[in-house]
This record gives sequence, C-alpha cells and structure tokens, in this order.
Amino acid sequence: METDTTDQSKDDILICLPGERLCRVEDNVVLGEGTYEQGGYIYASKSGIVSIVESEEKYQMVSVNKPGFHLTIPATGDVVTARVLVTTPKFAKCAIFCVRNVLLESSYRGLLRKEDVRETEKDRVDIYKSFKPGDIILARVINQMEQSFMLSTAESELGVVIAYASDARKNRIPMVPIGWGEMQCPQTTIKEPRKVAKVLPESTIKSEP
Amino acid sequence: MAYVALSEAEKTFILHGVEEDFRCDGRSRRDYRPMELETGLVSNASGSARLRLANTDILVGVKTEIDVPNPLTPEFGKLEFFVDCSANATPEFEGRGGSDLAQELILSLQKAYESSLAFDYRTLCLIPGQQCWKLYIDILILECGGNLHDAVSLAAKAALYNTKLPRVTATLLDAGVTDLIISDNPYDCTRVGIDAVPLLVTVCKIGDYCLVDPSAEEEVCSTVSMVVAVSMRNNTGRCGGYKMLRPFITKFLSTAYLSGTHMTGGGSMHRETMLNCIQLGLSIGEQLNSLLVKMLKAEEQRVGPKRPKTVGFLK
Amino acid sequence: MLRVAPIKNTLLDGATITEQLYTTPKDCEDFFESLEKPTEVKATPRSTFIRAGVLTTVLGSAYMEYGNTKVLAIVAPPRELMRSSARRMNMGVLNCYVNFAAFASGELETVPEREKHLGGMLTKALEPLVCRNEFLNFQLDVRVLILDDDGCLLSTAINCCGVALVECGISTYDIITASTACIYKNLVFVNPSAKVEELLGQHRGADSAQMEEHGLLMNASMDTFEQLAQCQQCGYMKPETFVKLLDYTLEINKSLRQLIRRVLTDRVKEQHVLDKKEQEAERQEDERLAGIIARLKEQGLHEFIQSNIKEDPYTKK
Repeated sequence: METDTTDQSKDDILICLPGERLCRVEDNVVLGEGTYEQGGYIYASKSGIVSIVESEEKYQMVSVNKPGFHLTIPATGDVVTARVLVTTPKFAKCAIFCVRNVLLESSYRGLLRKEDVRETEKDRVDIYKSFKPGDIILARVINQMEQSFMLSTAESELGVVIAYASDARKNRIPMVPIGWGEMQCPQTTIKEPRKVAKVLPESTIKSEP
Repeated sequence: MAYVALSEAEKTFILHGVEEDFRCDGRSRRDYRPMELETGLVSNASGSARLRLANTDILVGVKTEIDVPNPLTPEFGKLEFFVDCSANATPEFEGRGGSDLAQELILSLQKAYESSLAFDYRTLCLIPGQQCWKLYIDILILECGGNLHDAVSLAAKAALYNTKLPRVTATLLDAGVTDLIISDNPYDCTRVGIDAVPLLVTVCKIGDYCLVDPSAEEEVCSTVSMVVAVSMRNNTGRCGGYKMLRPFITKFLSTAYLSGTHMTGGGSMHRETMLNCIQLGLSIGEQLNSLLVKMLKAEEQRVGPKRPKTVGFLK
Repeated sequence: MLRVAPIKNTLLDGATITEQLYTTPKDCEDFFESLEKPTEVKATPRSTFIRAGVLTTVLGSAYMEYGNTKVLAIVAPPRELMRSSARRMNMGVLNCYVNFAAFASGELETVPEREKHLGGMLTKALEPLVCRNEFLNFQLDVRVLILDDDGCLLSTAINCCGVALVECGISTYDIITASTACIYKNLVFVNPSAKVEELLGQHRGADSAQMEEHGLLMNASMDTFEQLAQCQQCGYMKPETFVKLLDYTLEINKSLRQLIRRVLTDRVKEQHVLDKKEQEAERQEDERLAGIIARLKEQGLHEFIQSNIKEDPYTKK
C-alpha cells in the first residue's frame, strides 16, 4: 500500500488523496464525509486533510476535509435559501441557491407544496397568501424527487425572509415583517400577506428536523 | 442495454446460479442460448440474414453501391455500418433513446472490421484507384433480449456470407476512361470472403465469474463486461509461438486473433480477470466461428441458390 | 483516423501544395522509413505537465500537456437529471463531452465523429472511478477541450479528467491514470504520436500471405485495487501481443500515478494555506461586525426588531 505519500507537513496535517487507505473498520469508528468502505478498510474518496473527530459515546468520526472549494448538494434535512419563481394554487416552484451557509454554484429546482407551507391547519393554506414570485425564503429539504427537491416551511423559523411589495416598481425597498402572516412596505405602507419567517441566529436552529 | 427491473432477491438468485455454474435457463457459464439463423430473406438487399438468439432478434441487410476508393488505399473497397434500434425492440428506444446503444454497436463493429486483416477489403475492389464496391450493412434490432453485440456480429457475418455481388466487367473506352458492365444474370455473381470476418463475444462478469451470452436479466446483474472481437485466420504466415492461450488445435489450423476489445458496463476489473475474459472470449469465438461457418454452408447446400417461398419469415 | 480529401490547393501559377504528409501508399511507406524508430521499448511517460484549478470561473478544472498533446478538462457541479428515463439503477449519470479546438487537428472532416467516439469512451473509462451512488438523481457533466492533438488523446483526456474530478471535490474511488501503446510493423511504440496513429489507421496489411500485427491499446488503471477501468484495443493482434502492450501501459500508468499524486498533494497544501489566510481574514471581519452589533445593541435596535415579530399561532408549541 502506498502510505509513503501521506506527508506530515509542518502544520502537522495529514494529507490524503482518493483511494488512500485510512484505517480499519472498527465498531467505534464512523465513516464521515469523503470516505468509503471497502473490504474492511476505510479509504479516502476525496483529496484533502484527514480529520478524526472524537464525538460523544467514544465514537470516532473519520472524514476528509477538502480545502478550498467544497462541493455542496442539498441533502434531506438541510435548511436552504431559495427564490420563489412561480406560484400555482397547489405549489410554489423555487430555485435553491444556498444550502446552510454555502452559496451554490448553480441553482437546483425546489418544489414547495401547499401542504408543507405550515404545520397546522394545512387545508386552509393559500399559496398566493403565503408567497409571491421573487420572494426569498428559508425552507427545509424534506425529500429528493426525480426532478426537484421537496421543500417545507412548516416551522416558525422558516418562510419568507425578503419580499418586495407587488407595486414597488422603481425604488426596491424590502418589506418589513409586522406579524407572522403580514409584511409592510416602509415607503408606501402597503401591507401584504406572507408566511413570514421568524429569523433567528443560525446557532439556535435545530440541525435535524 | 435494455433495462429490466430486478429486485435484490432476483439478482441474488441469478448470482448464486452463476456461482454454481447452473444458470436460470439451465446453461453452464460457457453455453450459448439456442440460435436460429436464416439467410437471404430480404429480396431488395444483396445479402441478408436474420438471427434469433432466444429473445434477441436481429435482421441484417447488405446493400451495395459503386464508389471511388480512398486514394491512400486504392485497392480497397468500403464498408459502412448502420444500426437501427427501433422503438418496437423496447419502449425505451423511443425517440432518441436507442441512439447511444446504436452508436456503441456501430463503433464496436467498425473497430472490429477496421483492419484489412479482419475483413479483406481487396475483394471489394473493381478497378484499383477508380472504382470499388461500398457495402452498407444495415442492422435492424427487432427485439432486445440481451447480448446484442454477439448477435449483431453473428448476423452481420451471416449476411456478408449471403451477399452476392454481381459480376462486373470493365471495358476500356477512349482516353483511358473505363466503363463498367454489370452482369444481367442474377446468378452470375461473386461472393465476399468471410474467413477472417470477426465475431464479437461479450464476456460478462457476474460476481467473481465470467460467462458468455448473458440474457437481459443477467446483464442487469453484471458490473462489467468485456467485448472481444475474435478473428480466425489461417496459419499461413510465420506465427507459431501462439500456444499458451489456445485450448485446442482446430482442423484448419487457424488461429484466433484479437481485432478489437473494450470494456463496457461501468465497472472495472483486475488484470488477471481481464486476461481470463479474453481467453474465454477467444476460445468461445473460435467455436462459434466454426459452427457458424458450418451452419451457413449446410443451409446453402440444403436450400440452394433459390429460396423456397415462405410466408411470414418472423414466424 | 486519417482520410485524405482528394483536393489540392492550387496556386495562381498552377503549382500545387499538398497538405498531407502522404497521399499514396508509397508515400506512406516512405514516411514510415523516415520516421524515427524506437530501438528499445522504454515504458516511461512523455514529459508531462499537469495543473489543477487552472480556470477561476469553473471550480473543477485541470490542464494537462502530454508531450505536445494539450488537453483542458472541466467538471461542472452535478445537476438534476434532464431525462428521467436516463435514470437507471441507483446510480448517478455521467456524461462526457469532448470538443476539439478548431486548430487542434489538421483534419476537420472526421472531427465530429472522433468527438463522439472519444466522449463515449471517456464516459466508459470514468464510470468505474466516480462514486456514482453519491449522486442519485443527478447527472455529472465532464467537458474536455482538446487544444492540440499529438496522439494519446484518449489516455491524456482520462488523466486530465481524473485530476479535474478530484479538484472539483467529486468523490472518486481512486486516482485514474491511462496510457497508450501501439504496434506497427513489428515495432512497439509507447505513447504513439499523432503521425504514428495516423499510419496505423492506414495500415493496409502489405501482402496478406505475411501476417503482420498492428494495433493500438489504451489502458486506464486504478492502482489501489489494481483494477483496470478501461482497456480498449483496436487493430489486429495476437493475444500475447495484447498482454505485452498491456504490461507496458501498466508500467507507464504507475509512473504517471506518482506524478499525479504529487500534483494533487501540492494542490491540497496550496489550498490549505489559502484557506488559513481566508479564515484569518474572516475572523477579523467577524470581530469588526461583533463590534458594530454591540454598538447597535446599546442603541436598542435589537428590541425594535424583536418587538415587530409576534409569535406564529399556527406553530405547535
């Protein structure tokens, strides 16, 4: 096996390349990102720096962190930022452009169904009273369909973050939330219905649904 | 390849069958499915063949045309392949769905026939540097039941064997211009030499074993397969060192040569596995070739130049 | 490969310029005679230059020079499948597209055909490399631009794409390396130049009584598990010649692998240093922002924002 090339540079970091054997599979070792298992051993599947994280209950997570650009794809459970493109009575089509705090290279298609707008009284939701095309929303990925990701805003922290009033033509000033279901334009004082997100610092959002 | 949906249990069943050397249809790993071969059924083509390999159904027609040879190879004729994956083979082929597969088949055949040692392009020459035959080999896939590479190459070889080129005589006119006179007699014709025409053998790797002639279900289970083009050549030259891989000596003392190989299926294999695959492909190709030639000759003797009238050739 | 159009450029004074090196079989022979023939087979790669991340606009890019062959590869982030019918098994779909730059090849007629062929073979070679199970319902597009063609195109493109994939952060099972070897008139050429490859395509099998092997072998291997990702042979050869050429290419692949590993390791180090600098800059920026926020809090803006948002009565408590 080629172990000679895993250099120890001066920062005491362990660099590995795809196909390099990292360690043996054991009960208390968990495969992290950038690794795969083959024949009882853990191998790297990305180039980067090996990190072994001791997590609770004596588990060790072995992962490879690629410095520089990190490829991100929305995964089930991720909070994403999306722009509403089209609204229909049944669903809103969105373009996902940000996953967690990572800006994506290219946008992915998202679909927000009427049933997933809020948690309760799902049957009384009207898409057009919740979103307008152009709104920027926070949503959670609940599933990956063949052509697009299914999104949900059924949490008080999720929903419209930035929206503009429908008739604001020249001076685009974002509306200010004035309640959980309404936003107001500070210039024209026009009020519009929206599913408003209660924006909180990132640290307080649960990482898993 | 045409896609068949299989559950994990079905895949495991096939895998175990392969391990036991007893496949779902009772074959061993080195057996082919029963084949039906007919030649000369298309009246508008110079040569044709229909091959049915269990569920795979192929119809090949050979058309001829007079063309100008390539200046670099003045004494060579030309060959062109066309594969049509029609939508009735599998619904998946509808629209442009079959074009990738057709492209792959065309490329495999082109590669295999590329060498002048594999196909004697000289037999297609009329007047060196001026006129030659160009053969269009049109392959129509009627039904897709796995192992298309093999079936297509077998059918193409049979169709070439069946191809009859009208006898052409040239007369020299004034100013060095030659004129071609094509014989009116439909039985006055020349044949295409098929002795060295290659056959493609797909060696499919399922689990740890290699097998030939995979069915559509087996193709789904396989991670990787190797397409080996085997060309048999009479040992007239100065090559005698080839003993290691040849399992037995055939009657004609002909030797198997590789005229194009590639891997397909999205997997990888070890060097030794690949060499085993090639060895298996060569020995199978050798048997297949001698059988095919034997059957073609037998059919010709039995049927003769005139075909009896049949109704409904697809049966 | 090479197909000569029977057109010659006619100058005004009636003289002609032949563009091709050879137009008749005799010229072919003459050209071969004039060619420098290898006295012994040295299974070493040509002088090679590889650089990962050459383009700033695309995240996964690599440039490779293999002797005079110059290739640029680009990997785009995975995107949604266009055709749902393309979804088969539980695997992502890999698409490779090869393009020749207009000046890459003297031959223009066969370019579209070669592009298609190379794209297909490249896809086949890269499929075993990429962890396609990580890209369910996605397709990964790999684009290759050929700037200069001097033989070994497919193997160079595979090497270059391998580096670009790793650079893009696409999970791969291993590092892939590929090389080419060919046999013509009983002479083995490793890393054949475009001229040799063209001659090979023109092989006419002098006189059929004399059996003459000719052919080309391209082999892409992944050494961790000693797997061959693709092995393509064309021409006409004996099985033992096949094995001989295969072993030459495997040896070249080994040395290329060392080179690619070095390039990738250096790249990781380089990026690691950049990352550290960026982190430092970010930390300073955070400190600055924290200061601003602290000031704003004193002014009571925080209370203003909080007071504006009431609880959503439809949210379960």
